[in-house]
Amino acid sequence: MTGRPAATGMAAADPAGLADRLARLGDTTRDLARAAFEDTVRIGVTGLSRAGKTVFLTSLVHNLIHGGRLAALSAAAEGRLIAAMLRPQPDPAMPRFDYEAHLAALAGDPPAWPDSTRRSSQLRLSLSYRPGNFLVRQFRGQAVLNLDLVDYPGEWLFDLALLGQSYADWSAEVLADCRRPPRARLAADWVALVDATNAGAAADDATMRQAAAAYTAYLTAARDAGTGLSRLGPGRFVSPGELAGSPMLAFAPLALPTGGRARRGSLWAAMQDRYDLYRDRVVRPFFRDHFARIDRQIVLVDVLTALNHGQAAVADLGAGLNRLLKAFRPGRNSLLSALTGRRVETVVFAATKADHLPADQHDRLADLLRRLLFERINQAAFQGAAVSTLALAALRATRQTRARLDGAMVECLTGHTLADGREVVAWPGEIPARPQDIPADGGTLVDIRAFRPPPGAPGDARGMAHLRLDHALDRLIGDRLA
Amino acid sequence: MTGPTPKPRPPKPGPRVLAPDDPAIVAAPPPREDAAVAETPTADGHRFAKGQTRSGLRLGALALIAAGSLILAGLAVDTVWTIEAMIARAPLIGWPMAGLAALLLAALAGLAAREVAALARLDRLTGLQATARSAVATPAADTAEATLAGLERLYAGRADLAWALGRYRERREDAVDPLDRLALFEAEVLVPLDRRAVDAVAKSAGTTAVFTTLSPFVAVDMVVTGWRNLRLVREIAVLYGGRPGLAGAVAVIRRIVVSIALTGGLEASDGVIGQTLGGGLAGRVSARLGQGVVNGLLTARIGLGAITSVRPMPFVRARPARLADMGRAIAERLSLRLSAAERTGDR
Ligand SMILES: Nc1nc2c(ncn2[C@@H]2O[C@H](COP(=O)(O)OP(=O)(O)OP(=O)(O)O)[C@@H](O)[C@H]2O)c(=O)[nH]1
Ligand SMILES: [Mg+2]
Repeated sequence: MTGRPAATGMAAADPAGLADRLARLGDTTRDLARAAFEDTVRIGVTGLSRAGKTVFLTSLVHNLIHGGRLAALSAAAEGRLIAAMLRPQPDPAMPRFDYEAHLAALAGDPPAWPDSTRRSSQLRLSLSYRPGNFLVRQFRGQAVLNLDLVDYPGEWLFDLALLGQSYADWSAEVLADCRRPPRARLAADWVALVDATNAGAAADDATMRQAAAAYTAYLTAARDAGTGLSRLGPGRFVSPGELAGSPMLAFAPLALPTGGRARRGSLWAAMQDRYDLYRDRVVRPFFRDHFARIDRQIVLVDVLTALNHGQAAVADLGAGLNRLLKAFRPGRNSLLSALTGRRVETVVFAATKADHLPADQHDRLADLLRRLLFERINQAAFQGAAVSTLALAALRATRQTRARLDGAMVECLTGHTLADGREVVAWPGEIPARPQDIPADGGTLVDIRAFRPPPGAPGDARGMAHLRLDHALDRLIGDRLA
Repeated sequence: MTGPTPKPRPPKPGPRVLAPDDPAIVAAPPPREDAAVAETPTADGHRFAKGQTRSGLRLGALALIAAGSLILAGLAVDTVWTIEAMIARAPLIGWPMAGLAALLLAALAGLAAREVAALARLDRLTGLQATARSAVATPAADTAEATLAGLERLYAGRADLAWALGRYRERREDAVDPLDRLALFEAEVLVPLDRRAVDAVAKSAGTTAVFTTLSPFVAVDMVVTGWRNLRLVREIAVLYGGRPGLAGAVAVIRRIVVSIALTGGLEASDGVIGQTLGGGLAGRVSARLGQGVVNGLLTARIGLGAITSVRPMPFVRARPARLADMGRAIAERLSLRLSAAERTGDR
């Protein structure tokens, strides 16, 4: 490798990248000092909207605090995990992850899933453990590992795809998508407006706001129409957080001539400025604050819901994730990492909500995820990161039952429906083994029932029931508890 | 399109929702009690192991057996004649003698039967081991379930394991993967047994080491050590549910000795000896002390070997105890006893 490898990736292209790098260097020094007393791991929980981040974090905290269902986490299985405690987070300016409120929702009558997340929040969970290594134990009989966790609206994550895209590229991609099914139907009004707009005309604020409003209307419609599409950005358009009404959000894609350049004072130039502003002032800081410094990453993917919507939704999910995950730099860390920026050493790709599927199909589910994200998984492994794939359920809402249907013995799921809490036994069908076997409209093959959280979920003193959350934890932090 | 050549799996039915009392629903399957487990003693792995040890019986053994049988036959013939003669000459003495001989025969037969039964029980354990080994090596739902059902049955009547088994049953639904299920059983039921077994080994090894160091007669401590090892192996087998008789214990020891020989004898423990004697003790190394440590380590090795050989399931996630751990236990016992001896000797 040369002196300055493509380490900072796309951030190297502009001056903001330098600031990022300096911030990271500062962090590294501080970390080194702290490591003498306590170890800290930043875990990047990565997932699009409704992927299951909030439930995952809630269950992770609950399970580490209670510790009774972590058989696959080696430190817990060996009885070395002493206790876990929520402690003050490192950044007091940020809201705290409202663990208690999410727990209360799950424990409510009727039990309810936590609301969709509207803003980012942070949490620090400190684990106290006995090192398993005999030598280490001579120095520190009891050690502390801090887990720094962040929750945020999944829509925002999708913006990471913008980090590597220019306004013109982005416009072209969005428009091309919107002229094709399944988006064409939803985006018809907005596309008509774009076609009627002259990108070279003089910029004026009213036109820009109108374009943004029409584009936002399409995004919201697409989200609420239950199409299962995931590439719906920019994220702040659908979930503005504190940016609601800000002029920074007053832009939209335009139909641009290929190879042309924006003339000064034109609508195109104005839109492009806003886009760059959005990318540099909103997306980049979000990335820098939450993701640029993570050590470990878990990518939560709701494959099942996409499957339920059919081929197009699955393809959309795969394309979106493959694009946005490029913002991360997986790989092994070396001494030089302090200068070049830390890499993400461990990446776990997880298909969430696996409790909607009987266990004998979980291998298939994980395999489907592997095929969907093959590019990224392969690249991460090539760079030397520890990569793994699994199917998990952060909170298990079903039990398994057997039934004989049409002469075939199948594993079914017993749970309470989300709609009315009725107890049902559901046979979700068999998910296809290969992406090309996914039917266009999904529903004829798979009917993934949405279930309520199980009654009395958090009441259990052993921790919330889950599927393979302990495996995910072992892969994420198992070595740091060694 | 795909031809009809590979018979396709019948397609699964389409998605469906049933009421909880739908007759199509099959009650949760009880832990399988089918033949899979009962048949396992003949599983390949086991037969192979048996053949290995039996192949040692060659001409020398044949000669020994023949000689022994001859002597026994001679004794038997002699006894029968003596009794016959006695009955003819003095029936009052002859008949009670015949009765005693019959009693002796019956007792011998009883002993033999008990040994055979014990060997069969040990066999069952070994068979279960074979199933478990394949279940751990290639985790599949059916072999895992068969192994677990067999294990549950093996420990069903054990009062000391009732609580652990209860915990396991309470938790088994947590795990859906075959390997996780096996690991759960290990963690809840076998790990406590492992701990007890390792304690027994450490105690026995320590005692052997101390005894060898302090005893003045080499021949005596050899015999005592041998006997102690035999007892240790028996104790461990009983702990894991094997209940072996004398022959069983000897068979287990033989298996262990073979495996020790295969893995390079005691050389591997040389490092451990140094480690064991490190620190203050090093200065006082004497030939006897060295011998004590070697004997202690041998006992530890045999004990650990016994654990591997009678534990009904290979180690899945739990950490097997290592000789080095035992070395520490031996050193502790030795230094404790020696400093005590020293203090009394000084005064
Ligand atoms: N059965 C089941 N459902 C789950 C599980 N995790 C998430 N869900 C469902 O998925 C929905 C979304 O989960 P969240 O954790 O809120 O998703 P999120 O990634 O935080 O979504 P945003 O906050 O909108 O970005 C929940 O409301 C549940 O209905 C799970 O482990 N089991
Ligand atoms: Mg959320």
